[in-house]
This record gives sequence, C-alpha cells and structure tokens, in this order.
Amino acid sequence: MKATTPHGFVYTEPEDYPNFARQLQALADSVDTAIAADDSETIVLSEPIAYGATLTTSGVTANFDWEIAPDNPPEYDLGGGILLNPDGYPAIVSSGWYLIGAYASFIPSGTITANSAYTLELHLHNANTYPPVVTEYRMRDFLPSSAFSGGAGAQVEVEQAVGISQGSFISIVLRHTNTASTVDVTGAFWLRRIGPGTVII
Amino acid sequence: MGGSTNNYSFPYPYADEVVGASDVQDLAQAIDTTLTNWNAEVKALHTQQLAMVAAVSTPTSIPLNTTVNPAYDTVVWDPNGIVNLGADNQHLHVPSGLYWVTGAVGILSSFTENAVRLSIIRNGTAVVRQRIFFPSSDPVNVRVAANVYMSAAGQINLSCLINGSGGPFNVYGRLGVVRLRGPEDI
Repeated sequence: MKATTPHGFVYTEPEDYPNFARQLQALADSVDTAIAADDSETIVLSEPIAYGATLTTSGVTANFDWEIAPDNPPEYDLGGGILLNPDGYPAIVSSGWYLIGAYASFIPSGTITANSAYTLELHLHNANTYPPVVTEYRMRDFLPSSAFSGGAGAQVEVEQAVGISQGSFISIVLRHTNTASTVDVTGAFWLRRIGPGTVII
Repeated sequence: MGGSTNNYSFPYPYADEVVGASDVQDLAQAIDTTLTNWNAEVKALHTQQLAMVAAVSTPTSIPLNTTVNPAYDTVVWDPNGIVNLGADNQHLHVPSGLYWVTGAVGILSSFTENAVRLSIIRNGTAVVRQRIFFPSSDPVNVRVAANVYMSAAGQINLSCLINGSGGPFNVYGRLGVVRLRGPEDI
C-alpha cells in the first residue's frame, strides 16, 4: 500500500513487501515532482513583471477626460508577461498584486489660467465591462498663474498597489482646467507584479 | 543500469534488476546535489538585490529658478558598499538592472507662493517628475517614486527646482535605490 510524506514523497508500507526497485522509482519520481513544483513556485514569486512605456499627446483641451495609451514599446517586460491590447492599453494577463504607476508632464501651449488644475488618473477596468471605470487612483497638481509655468508646467506622478484579475487592464486619464490654453503631455507608465493575491476586480 | 526521473535525472533501478545499497545511495546523493544547487540559486536570487539610501541630513541651500542636484552627506544604508560620496555626492552609481527608486525633499525656508519640482534622473534624463504648488508659508515636502530600468551601469540622482519667489531655500532630502532584478535576469 502506497503512502506519502507531507511533501508527497511516495513510499510503500513494509507489510506489503513490494518490489524494492519499484519502491525506489516511485520515491525518485515523487521527489522529482515535488522539487519541480517548489522550484516553479519560487520562480513565480521572485519574478516581478515590469513594464515601462512612454506616452505623448498634444492639444489636450480643458475640462475633458483624455484617455491615452503608451505610444512607445516597453523598456523592460520580463517574460513577455504583459501585453498591449489592440487599442493600446496595457493589459494584465495574469491575476495578482501589482504595483502600478504613471507620470505625466503637462506643458501648456499658452497662458496658464489662474488656478488651473492638472489631473492624472490610473483607471482599472474589468475586461468585459469597458467602460465603466471600476477603480481609479488620481493625483492633482495646481498652478495658480502663468508665473509658475517656469517652463516646467505641471508634473504629476501617481502609483498604487492593486489586485488585478486576469484580462483586466489599466488606462491613463488626463484632465486639466486651463481654459486659456491646450496642453501637451509627455509621460511614462510602469507596473510590476509583486505577487499572487486575492483578486479585487 | 536503470532509469532516471524527468526533471532532475534522479537514478532508480528497473524492476527486474537486483537492487543494492548503492542504488539507494545514488538516489540519495542525486537528491542532495539537486537541493544543494537549488539552495544556491535561491540564495543568489536574494543576494543580488542592492539597496542604497543616501540623505541630505544637513540642509543645503538651493536658489530660486535653478535646477539643482541635491548633494548627499550621509549614507543611511548600503549593505553592498556601493555608495561613495567622497567620489560623487550627487549621484548613486549602479550596475544594470531594474530598480525601485524613491526620493523626497523637504524645504525648511518659508515662502509665500512657490512651486517645487522633484525629479528622478537616469543618466542625465528625467524619468519621472512631481511638481507641487504650495500657497502657504509652512515648510513643504515633496516625494517621487518610479521603477527605473538601467540597461547598463549608470547613475541615478534627484534634481530639485523651485519656482516662485524668495530664496535661497534650505533643502534636505533622501534618495533610495533598490535593485529588483539583477543584470543576470535581463
């Protein structure tokens, strides 16, 4: 009668008087399988998937949500674990916890309206229900007047750790309230898988 | 002469063979070797991660409307001995890899209305920036963070720009760099 150790190593009870060679083979195979399973788990846990892409858009008008996608390929995508959707949005292909982040530099093409606000948002979508937005994280900068443009405009960065289900994806949304000028935007997007976890969307 | 397992080639005798103590010993030694190699891989995986933190502990002066790289005066944590502030106190020099970089500055000087921009710079080019406007006269703090990929050895630093009025400003800060993946994995 076969029995197993807590790690799944197979052995045969002595009273069954089995073929000793087969006992050894069963033991060797079970140890081999158990170690291979642990080895693959170690690789998954230690293998963050990182993705860095840049984004550019121009002529962003005031008081309108601009949903934009990276326009350059990733700098780094270990194992090709993250794919771009056909529409350009970064797609998550395996469930888990991710650290996601984005950066946008808003450069007004003209005058800065007093008390202009510049908003960068990360939107998490369920693949089957786009739209609506499921979850969002946002950062907002505020420039009071053209005296603070300084050639730098508004610079906004946001990041958040989130649990994501397979097939869900992230989009980047820009908005500003500068009614005196359109805005040109450059930025970056990155994410890194930090481990398996409970799916929240 | 027997068979072997699929993944790690652990040896075992065929059913019609005469089994001896050496067969058991061969299997035990093969398992031992595999686990020893595996432990070495796991250890290498953990030890490849570098972490470096440098701080501006004594506030340094930054003028208005001038982009300045904060100069660090203190090594907070550097287990691999990478930081050499004597050779370069404005940049952290790192080997290739993927890094998690965080930076923060605090500005002690009071002012009326200013915008503070803090950037993470990779080999002289900004990777990410955060610019915050502060209307009050209270001391301010700005932080920034990003994944930064270094395709080859290079340098990472912070830069700080203050627009508005007044100055110079007394600034302190901190730059942290953690390697998430080493060059052997890229």
